[in-house]
Amino acid sequence: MFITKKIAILFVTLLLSLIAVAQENSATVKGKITDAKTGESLIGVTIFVEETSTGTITKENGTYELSLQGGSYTLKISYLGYKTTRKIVKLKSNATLIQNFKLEEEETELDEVVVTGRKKDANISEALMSAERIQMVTIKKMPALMGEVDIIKAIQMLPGVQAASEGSSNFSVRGGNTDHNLILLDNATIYNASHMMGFFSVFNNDAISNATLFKGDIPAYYGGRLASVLDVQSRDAEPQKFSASGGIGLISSRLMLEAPLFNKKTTVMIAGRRTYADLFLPFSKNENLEDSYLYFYDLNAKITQKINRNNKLILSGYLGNDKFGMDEIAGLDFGNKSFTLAWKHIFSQNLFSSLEGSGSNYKYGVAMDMKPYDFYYEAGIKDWGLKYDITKTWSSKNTSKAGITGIFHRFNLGELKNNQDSKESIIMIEDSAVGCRKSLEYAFYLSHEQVATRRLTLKYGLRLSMFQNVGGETFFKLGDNYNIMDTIQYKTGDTYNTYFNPEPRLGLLYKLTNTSSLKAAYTRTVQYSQIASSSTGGLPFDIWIPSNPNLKPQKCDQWTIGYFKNFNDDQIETSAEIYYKNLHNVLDFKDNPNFFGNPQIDAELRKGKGRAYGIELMVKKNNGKLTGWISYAFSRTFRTVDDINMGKEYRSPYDRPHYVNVVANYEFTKRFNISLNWIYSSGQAVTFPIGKYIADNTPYAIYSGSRNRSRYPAYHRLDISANLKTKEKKWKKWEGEWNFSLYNAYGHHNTWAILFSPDSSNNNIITERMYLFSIVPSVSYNFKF
Amino acid sequence: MNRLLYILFFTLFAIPSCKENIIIDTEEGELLIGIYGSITNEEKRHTITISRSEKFYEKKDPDGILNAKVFVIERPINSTENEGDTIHYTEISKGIYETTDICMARQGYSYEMHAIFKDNGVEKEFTAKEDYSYNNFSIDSIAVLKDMFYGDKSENRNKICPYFDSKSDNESVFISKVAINGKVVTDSLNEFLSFKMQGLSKVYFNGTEMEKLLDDRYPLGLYYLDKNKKDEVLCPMDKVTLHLYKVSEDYYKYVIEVQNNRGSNPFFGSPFNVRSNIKPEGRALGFFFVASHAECSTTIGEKQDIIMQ
Repeated sequence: MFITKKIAILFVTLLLSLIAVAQENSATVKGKITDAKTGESLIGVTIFVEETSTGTITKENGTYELSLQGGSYTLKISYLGYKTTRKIVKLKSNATLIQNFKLEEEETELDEVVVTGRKKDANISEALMSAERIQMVTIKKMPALMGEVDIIKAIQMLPGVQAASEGSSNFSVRGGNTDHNLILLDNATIYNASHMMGFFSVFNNDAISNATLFKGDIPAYYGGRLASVLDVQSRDAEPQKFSASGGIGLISSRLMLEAPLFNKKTTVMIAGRRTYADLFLPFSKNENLEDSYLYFYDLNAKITQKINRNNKLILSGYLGNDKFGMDEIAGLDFGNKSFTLAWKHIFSQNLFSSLEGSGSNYKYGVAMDMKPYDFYYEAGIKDWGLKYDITKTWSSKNTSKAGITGIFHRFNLGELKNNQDSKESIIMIEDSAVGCRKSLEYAFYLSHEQVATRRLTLKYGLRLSMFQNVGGETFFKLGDNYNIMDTIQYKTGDTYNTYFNPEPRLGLLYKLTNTSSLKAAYTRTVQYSQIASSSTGGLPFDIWIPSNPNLKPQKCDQWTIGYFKNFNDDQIETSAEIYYKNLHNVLDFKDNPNFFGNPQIDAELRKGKGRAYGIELMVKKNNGKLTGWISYAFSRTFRTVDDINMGKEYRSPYDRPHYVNVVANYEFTKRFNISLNWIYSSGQAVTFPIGKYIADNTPYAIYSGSRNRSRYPAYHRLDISANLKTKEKKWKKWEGEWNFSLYNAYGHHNTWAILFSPDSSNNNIITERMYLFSIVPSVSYNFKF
Repeated sequence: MNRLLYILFFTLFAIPSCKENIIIDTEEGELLIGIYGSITNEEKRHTITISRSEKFYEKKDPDGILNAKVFVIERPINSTENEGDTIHYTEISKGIYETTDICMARQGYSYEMHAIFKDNGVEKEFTAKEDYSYNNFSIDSIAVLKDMFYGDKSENRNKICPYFDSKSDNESVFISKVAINGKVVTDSLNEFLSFKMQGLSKVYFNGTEMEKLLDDRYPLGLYYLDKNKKDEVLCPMDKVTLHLYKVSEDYYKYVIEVQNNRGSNPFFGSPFNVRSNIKPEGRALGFFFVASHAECSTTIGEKQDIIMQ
């Protein structure tokens, strides 16, 4: 505890010292780049100083900053799909010039101008590796299931990322489990990113600006998960006037509205979606579906309030819910709620801060009203978080970031409420609460990026995380054999267990030439909250549980090296990354676990170690009529866990050695383009039987006890889409676009499950492959005005 | 709750899905000994089957173990003495052993099964033990009724509704078999026919107390005969028999695990071996259980209408 206090004091001192930094001597030009029409911040815009051949790109909020010597310079501003702009600026020594830009969309055909959507050779000169930023403009061109483009489906096309199962919004990154991914929406945690069995994610593409996936080199300001961070930012709209966009699809529709208010100091964005497949269920020939309902809706909202030049308040929120029921007998509903309130403050031209409060609530419920039983069961997780961080640009060569974060978690492991009146009923399922567990998770972090020489850039940081269990629960202490050794009642508010973990983050960039570089990174990540589940595909009723004295925090050490080379004047990017991961205290489930309604849920899990390694190769074409990428990943991942597979190492269910992705978009004209995705992967690692046993004329499968030794057949799928924009008319503000998609265009029957049906008549077991989709055509119409 | 959640969600995926037969590459593994049998309160010869497991796609009768010495020791529950009455078994066909004499299990006694035989020249002994700790019961009557719960959608189903008193035990677990004209058409290992009383204990099953609670589900059916299944089609004068067995919680879990042994899918995670109470642990399959049995029959009327006995 003494050490913790000392470190806390050290960090606070560091923070204060950063705030108190004196003015720099060099001249600075900075500002913000936005879309002239919508006011939306543009991320990744290249600002190139022609005289010095240096430059930068805009950050997440569209801002940029350049440190130069005093003098006159020509800034060239370029961005994919927008007119390139040049501006001469005069900088005085020891002064800062604010220079904002409003970019206008390019009117001419794409091949007639040379524009770049990113800083030239950014992948070569940026120290960050194993990270992918995807813009909605890219995602919107990709083919999609039922015409609904989706961020998570798009990131599943990246090397090192695999869908947990067909159609699922859950994913595994570099051999990690699906709960090893931190998914953030405006910095609030989203605990279940799936809608409608995972066919849709919670992210409405109209409300989203961009997403960044960190799959290895995770910056120190992120933490709490082992494998990856998916940071999704909602639309940072600062519209000059009212505008709207939306889409009408076969099973869902959506609408987004945004507008400036009060002298444009306040801007509002609101977006909603709803599916309407349930409206067709009464017409189903399947009698079981006639009285069923199945739909989801979600709502995103964001209010931005400019207080003055240096202060801005942003309130964003999300609300989503899925509902499924059968004939008013049984129902399942689940959904996320989240909000973030952020205060962005500029201390000086080189020092920014952000103070954020956030909340997240994921809840699922199951209702049963089939007499004599009438009850409601619910579980979930609730977070309240506070985060403060500051970013200091010391010079064009040195940038630091530091911050403090704290989250209070409340895990509801399950609560059953009887709806019957106990006085009248003789049949009661007793109300029971498996219990709530509470915990506090804090972190202090500091990171620094330093351009040490013309070729060498260093990146180093440290995250100090601390986790405490908070009382108000009955704790079942387990022994070495997972039997209960002791039962302890902790009072509400008492902290009874503390974990403290340093998480170093290191990285280096060595530029071999202007178009090639070597990068290396080491990352330690620690995870204190995890899912207790035997499912590999991810379920809405997976139960989140905290670390405690029984379940030590999971840890991961990851080493990555990469070689990056660009060709044809940045037209083609290539990369090769190799990684190795060591996992500690990784969890898996015992045979025949019972996670629901079980107060001793810890005893259903087994801990052990794991390892993963792989190589990821990628060729990417950024510009021109043909854009897209081809990637290949070879990846292996294994676990060694107590009591499982007789203690021997076994394949993780996410062990799929070969993975190929092809993503291509061809712009025939400005109005018409065709996209295709092709994906191939080794089959999922599963456990197949070694034989069967026949008891009382009933055959059933028997297993060797070895886990995941077999595989499903290989998975492959081709998706194609065509996008046709309606003709633009200058006097009309309305812009429309038709999207025609074929999901699984050649109708491959990809295995989702293998089902066994005992056939008692001849002591046989019939094996059947269950597949979710054959060819799925769809059409949707998207618009904006 | 587990089952409800999985069934609900699995149904969602079943909506757009399709199925087709497939041959999977099964793994090589050792063939294990399996022992399955029971002793109940019925006065009859009880059987135990000893056989070997088979390759997954093999289509032949179970490979029975010959010349085994099989016996069950009966002693009072909690008895500290090793000695007890021995019930001997005689081999009646390949791998099937039957009690030499007619006998019955008695409430308050435990039953310890022993099977000794040579396997590849090596003598092996397998054992299992269960207690008969529950009370006996009887079924007063059964009715075969048209199921009207789902209205028109129920037209293909007849439900079998028993009337019996389960007040004697705090929490009872039942499995069942349904026979038409003496031929068993379904049982708990094949269908979801096992059930825990879960709140219904200490209540007369399908009695007036349940009637108040069940409304349009009253009386409660334990099995729904499906007219689309050839064996389950009822004709006038057919004799329908319901066998109910009150069993141990362990055996109930075994039955549930057999029912859930239905392959692999992303929800259930890695499949696992069905439990067994045959010792040595991990070396054998199957289950030896003790049950309190009751049965009741009814005959379908000329008009094959609602019949109540």
